[in-house]
This record gives sequence, C-alpha cells and structure tokens, in this order.
Amino acid sequence: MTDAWVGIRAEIEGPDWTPQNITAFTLTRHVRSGASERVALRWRPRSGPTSTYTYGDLDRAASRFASGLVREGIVEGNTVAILAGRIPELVVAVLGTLRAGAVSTVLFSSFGPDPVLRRLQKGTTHLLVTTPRLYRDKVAPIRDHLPELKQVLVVDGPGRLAALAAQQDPPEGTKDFGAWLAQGDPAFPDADVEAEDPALLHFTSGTTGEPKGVVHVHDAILAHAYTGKRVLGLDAGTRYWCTADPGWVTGISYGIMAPLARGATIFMDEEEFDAERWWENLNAERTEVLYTSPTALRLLRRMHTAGVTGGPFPFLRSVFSVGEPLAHAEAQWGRTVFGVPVRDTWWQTETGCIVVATCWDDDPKDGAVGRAVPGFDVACLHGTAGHEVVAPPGEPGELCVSTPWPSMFRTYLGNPNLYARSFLGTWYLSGDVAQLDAGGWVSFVGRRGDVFKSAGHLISPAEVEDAMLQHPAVSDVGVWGRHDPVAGTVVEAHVVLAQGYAESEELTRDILGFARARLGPALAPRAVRFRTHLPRTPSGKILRKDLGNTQP
Amino acid sequence: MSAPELSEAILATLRRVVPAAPPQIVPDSPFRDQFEMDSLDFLNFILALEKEHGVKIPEGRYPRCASLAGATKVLEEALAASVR
Repeated sequence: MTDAWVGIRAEIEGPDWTPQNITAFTLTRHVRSGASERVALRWRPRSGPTSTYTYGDLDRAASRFASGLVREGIVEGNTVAILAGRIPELVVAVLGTLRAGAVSTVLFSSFGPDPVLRRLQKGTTHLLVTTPRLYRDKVAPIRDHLPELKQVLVVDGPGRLAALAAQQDPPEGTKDFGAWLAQGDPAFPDADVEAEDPALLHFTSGTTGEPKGVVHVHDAILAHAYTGKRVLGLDAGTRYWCTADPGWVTGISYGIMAPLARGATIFMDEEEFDAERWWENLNAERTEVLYTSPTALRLLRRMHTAGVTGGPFPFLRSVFSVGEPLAHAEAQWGRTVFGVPVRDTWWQTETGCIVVATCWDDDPKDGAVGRAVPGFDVACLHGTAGHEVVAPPGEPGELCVSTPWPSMFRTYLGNPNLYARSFLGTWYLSGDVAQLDAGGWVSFVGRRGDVFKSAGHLISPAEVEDAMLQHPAVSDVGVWGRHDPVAGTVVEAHVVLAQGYAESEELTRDILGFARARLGPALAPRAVRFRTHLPRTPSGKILRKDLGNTQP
Repeated sequence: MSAPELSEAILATLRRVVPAAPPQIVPDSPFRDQFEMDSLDFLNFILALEKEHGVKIPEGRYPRCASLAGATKVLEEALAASVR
C-alpha cells in the first residue's frame, strides 16, 4: 500500500485497531463504544409509517443471521445471495453474511430469470434470501439448475426482522426469514477473517454476454469509510440518503458500508422513484447528504418543471451524483432547487470506492467530474496497446488508477486472465476514456469496448442479444443504446427477422415481451428496429456503435 | 367511454408499454405490487395514455395513475377537461 494509505489507515482506524471483519467496523465498533442506541437505519415501506432500527438492532439481527448461516452449514468463503428490493432484511442479510465470514452478493431485483440464473451459478450460491414473489417469478423456474443452493429464505412482510412465526406459509422449498432469524443467537461474534479474505461479490456487465464477478475483500471497508468521510462528509449521526438500489455497487458501498462505517443514519425508501415522495422524504427525514444519479435528477427536474416540487431544504448540506457524467443543465437546476451544488463522483464496481470526485468541501468545475480523491493517483494513458504513455494535459486517453488501494477488486471470479488484462504495470485500466487538465480536473469522453450505460447502469449488449436470439422470429440481432430524454440512453434492439416472419406491431410487442420476461426491466430493450442486415466488420463482429447511425 | 371500457383501454395501453403485465390486474392495488414496473415504464405508460386519448395528464396526477382504478379516474377527469 502507498504511504498515503498508511496515513489514511491510521486516521480512519485509530490506534490499536486489529479486527479485519467489515462488521467489526460497521457494527461492533459502534455498539462497543456505547452508540448502540444511535439510529442506523430509517426505512420507509411502500405504504405505512417509517420504522427505525438502531445500531444495536442491526448488530443483534446480523448476529442472528450469522449464527443461522453456521447452523445451515455455511462456511467461511461460501456465497450468500440476496435478491430483494430496498428492505431492512437485505441490510441484515448482507451484514450477517459478512459477520459469519461468508461472501455476500446482492442481485438487482429487476433482473429476469436469465440474468438471475447466470449470476447465482457464477457465484456458486449456497443460500439465498428473497421475497415470496421474487422467488415464484424468478427463482422457482430455475432452481433445478442450482444444485449448490441449500437453503432459500423468504421475507414476507418486510420490516419485522426476527419474528416467531411466519405470516403466511412460505413457498415450497423455502423457509420464512423472520422465523428462521428468531432462532439465531443475537450475540454471535464477528468471524475472525483476514483483511484479504473475500467479502463482497458484485456483478457487472462485460463485453461478452457473461457477467463479470467482481470480488472485494474485507479491507475494502477502509476505503468505504475514508471516502464516506473525505468525499461525502459523513460523520456520526449524519442523516444520509443514498437512492441507489443495493443491486448495484453504489447501493452497497455507499448505501450500506460507508455510512455505517461512519456511524451515520441511513434512510431507505422501499418505493421506486416517485417525485412527490422524494421531495417529501428530504424534509421529513431532515436529509443532510443526498447521493443520487443523473437519471433521478432528470426525472425530478421534469416533474419540478411541471409543478411537482418541494423545498426549500434547510437541512440539506450536500448533493452528490454518480452513474454517468452530470450534464450542465441538471447541475444548474440542482443548485437552484436544492440550494447547494450537485457534486459529481466517478468510480466503478472494480474500484469499489469513489476515486475521482468533487469533494464536499470543493467547488464544482463545469464539465468536470472532479479530481482524484487524496490518496489516489490517476492518469490518462494513450498510444498503441501495450505501449501506452501518459497523455499530455487536455488530451483524451484511458483513465487509469495507480494501484493498489484497499477496495481495489482482487479478481474476476473464474476469469484470472481477464483480471490480468485489466492492469498495465502499476496502472488499473478503467476502460473509460477521459481527459485531465493541468489542474488535475477529470472530464469524461466515452467508454472503450462494447458496453454502454442506461440509466447509469452498465449494459452488456451480448447478454441482451443472447436472450433475444432465443425468439424464433429473430435470426440476427445487434443491441446498442439509443438517446432518451429521461434515461439518457435506453436499450434498443436492431433485429433481422427469420424467414417467414414479417414486421408488425404485434411481432414487435411479442419480441419485446419475450425479452422482458427473460431479462427483466433492467436489461430488456425498450425499442425494436427491424433491419435487413447488421453492420459488421470483415471478421463478422457486429459494429454496435454504428447501429444507430446506419440505414436499415 | 364508460368507466369499464376506459379501464379496458388502459389495460391495453399498459400491456403495450409493459409487455410483462399479467393477464389479471387488481384495480385497487398498485401496479408495482402486482408486476415489475420501473420509473421509465411508468412514464412511458402515462405518455402513451396521453397520446392514445388525446389528453394532457397534469404531472401532479402522475402518482395517482399507479393503479388501474386511479389511472381510470385520472383519465376520466382528463377527458372531461378536454371536452370543456
């Protein structure tokens, strides 16, 4: 580790700190220092009043969960997956898994059965936490393909945590989460793990259809805690709302880990985006720090222009954005409506924590995301593959981060070669193209390779194409992003029809419905364009970036 | 159009926009409790209703369109307003 991180470690961990488990940092430490009555989580269910969970509540529930895993025969290094929306049980399951020394992975609940199966298989899942509906729709149909999956727990009526009896009969082959949790030991200790033991598994889209399993270790918590403080300005008791879904890395690193490591109070809303509710939440929760995305800001702005508005927000101190570069219009609008600037951040699943940012105490610079967070060194490299050099200021190149740092990913599950190719000497190659000015400000230009972002989330066209090719009418298909005023970019499929099929509105609906049922709303295309052929390279590779510009 | 006819028309729109919508919809229960509908789906659904019925639905009423019963009521009002 570089000298900078030695200093950061001393500052964040304090003297005589030896435990390595993430939960030692996020729970045990607060409970031992007498903060067990501090509010850790405020959760607003889809309907009904907001409930409150203290650090002590989460600590006991995580212990019950961890002891339950041991009872089930889950051992250190096994994988526990969670497929659920924003509910307190998800937080408990993630923390309980880490406490037991197992590996936690959270899947986006908007994935359909195909992406869920690929990820559960790739992660060799031993135990799954989900809800009865998600189990029925997405897991039951694929369970036969998951021989390693020993146990499924379903959360019926979220928010109760441990309950002596199930509310209803859980689906066949599953157990009720609450009743299962109630049998656990509320004082179960943190497993004695090593700093370099795997802790968190995140899936991200690659250029092939196969999702990449990004592995982070327990030591990552140091980077979460540090950036939570240095970038977001989180402190003990800070009232904080991260709107990201825990199915994406932001919802874990900054929805759970960073705020709990800092002793902050998390707010979590079960409901999907709803402008009226969001405006209401900000003041009802006296939110001080908001971490959101350009997509959400675009939606809020649209509703605000139409009169669905809120404010002023006297409690709000900082607003941050992540997912895709913040447009000038959203930044300007945000400053006016929130009364504070919107600050941009850049990082990736692979980096595990924010690397480039406009920190809470820094003034934003128009068109730039920010600068390397102190402790990080970034550069733009250009030139021919294998012989890249640092680009002069202002010239675009691939954004690279100097290694190592605590939350740097430690491997791509089952793909060490791809992992090795992500580095050049001591640089991690991000795949994002950016430029750095003489003052160190970073602006984004685009993305290398065949992936794009929709609503801030990385999409792999190949994964979408694989599912669509299973439709009998689809003989060839190329998937790429299309500009959309709200999502920024939506998924569009360019379809060549098989012999005997003709273009029609019904067929469009049928193909979209087919893709949607397999992929779920997060990945499924929103539009279809029929074509006679697809643009290809001489070697036969689809020129996806040309799909939008070429004639059918 | 009568309220039941309007509800049928709304369901047809819904199925076009969200192909995964199930055959049976409980009118008083939010769509999101019955099937997957993200914010983009929801917005597209409302824009499609506006286009197909030639009305403007004020953004302030969007949240009320989150169930079949609510959307029917909002569309009825919007149609009445456009006649006047």
